[in-house]
Amino acid sequence: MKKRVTFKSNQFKIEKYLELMKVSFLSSFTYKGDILISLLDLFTFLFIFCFLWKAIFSSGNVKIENFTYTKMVWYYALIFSLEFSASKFRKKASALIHSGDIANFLTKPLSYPLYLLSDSLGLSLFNFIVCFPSALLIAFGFTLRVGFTVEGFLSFIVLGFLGLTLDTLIAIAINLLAFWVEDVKPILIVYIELLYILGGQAVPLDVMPKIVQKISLYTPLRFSFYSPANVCINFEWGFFLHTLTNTLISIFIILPIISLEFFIGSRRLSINGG
Amino acid sequence: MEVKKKLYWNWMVFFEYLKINFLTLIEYKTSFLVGTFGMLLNDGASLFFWWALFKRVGVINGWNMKDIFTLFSLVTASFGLSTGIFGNTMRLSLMIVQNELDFYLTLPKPALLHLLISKTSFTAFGDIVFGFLAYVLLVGASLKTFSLFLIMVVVSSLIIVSFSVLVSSFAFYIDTGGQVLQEIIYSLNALSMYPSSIFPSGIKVILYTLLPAAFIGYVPTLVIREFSFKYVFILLIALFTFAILGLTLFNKGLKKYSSGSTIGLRS
Repeated sequence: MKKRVTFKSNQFKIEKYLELMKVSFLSSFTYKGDILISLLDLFTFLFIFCFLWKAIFSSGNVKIENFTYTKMVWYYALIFSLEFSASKFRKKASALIHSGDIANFLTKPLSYPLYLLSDSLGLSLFNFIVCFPSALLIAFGFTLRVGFTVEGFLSFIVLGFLGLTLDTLIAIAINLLAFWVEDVKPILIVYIELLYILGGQAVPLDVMPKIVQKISLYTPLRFSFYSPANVCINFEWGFFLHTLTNTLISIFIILPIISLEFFIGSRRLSINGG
Repeated sequence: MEVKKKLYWNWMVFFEYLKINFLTLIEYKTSFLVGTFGMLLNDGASLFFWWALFKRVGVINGWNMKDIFTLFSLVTASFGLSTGIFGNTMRLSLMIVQNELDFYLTLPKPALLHLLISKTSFTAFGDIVFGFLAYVLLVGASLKTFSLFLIMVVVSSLIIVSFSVLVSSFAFYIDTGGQVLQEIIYSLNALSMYPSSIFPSGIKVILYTLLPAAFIGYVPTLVIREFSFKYVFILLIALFTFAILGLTLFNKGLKKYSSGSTIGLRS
């Protein structure tokens, strides 16, 4: 008996989104200026932090749990390679909703949130391929040793990909609020700054005051960038599995939230013909 | 007499644009409030980073928390002031590459001054407010140090604008790459937020020449911390050097500029 293909079932075919991811990845090659800018940013911040921590550790009277100078440099190399791979997406996702062009998506056999996810991950993957080796080279240049084991490296690839996915999903959830609020920018700013403090981008959470460490335990923000980098340089199977489980739980919690947001939001949409 | 008249005329243009820019901020309330809120949050998070770090490490290369707060407040306020008044400072290279100068060249006003001040930044106000509040509340200023802080903010802002004009003027000589030049100016912002003393001598040379971040944050902070005419003199030399180099390169580059024949509307 021939299977009936419906518009709805067609919307969620994984091949389609993998193809979109591929297109986004390949189209990134065209923007050579963007690549150079990402690298310039990465070099600037990584150099600054490597020298800053060198000055701190060379005073001799600083002790930070789980961190030596070498580990600190590698921590920043890993966390920056994820951060600089992810940051481009946040600015444009709500634009289609505000301009009304989202209407085009409703007529296509495509899911808008999944389109955003695949488009963003394709770009992130490209940025990662550019930023990661560059960051590793800088870190090696500063420490003259490799700051992780083979298991640590593999765990970083897995957790890093999931971390980027989680970060993108949170950004999508915020951008979909454009169905209700005039400007999602303030909410995005709050998210970015929370990620900076509670997500370990500024300094490893171990350096933060105890209260910040406690708060971060109740948010998924630590799993985006901090945990992949931390597991990589302090690899233990238990630590890895615990982080993997929590990241997956965070992703599976946010997915239905996004679906619900889009489901309700797209029904509120009023399209004016023209 | 002619010079005096010209100066007066330029001052009037400058003053009128200040008024127009202020009215623009009031008109676009949402953008203004979002920009201010964003900057306050962003600066607050960066300051929190320094606070958390100094809680753990105490002193970094002779710099304590108050010194870093002074440096951070000064750089924040300086970037706010430079982009608040000279709003096109950060996008000058893009304007050159995208042939957006036509409008400014057809009017009897000095092109560079006119194009720099014809826009304001919606985020600048947040930076200025944060910079001054952080300095007064967290560092604790006396009348003398506050006056020095105020003067240093003005000097740093002028160095930022001069250096930005210098770097952006290279856009006249290249067809693309306006964004990369813009990124160099952003790097200057990032580098000036850290004390130059943490860098090795090779990098320090760069911070005093090619990317003069030291003249925007480090040296002005030294002036406030331990006033010395030597530092003031160094700062003034840096300011005049970058201003003259910027002006010269811009005027030379302008001769190479060709219109893009783009028809557009100015709002």
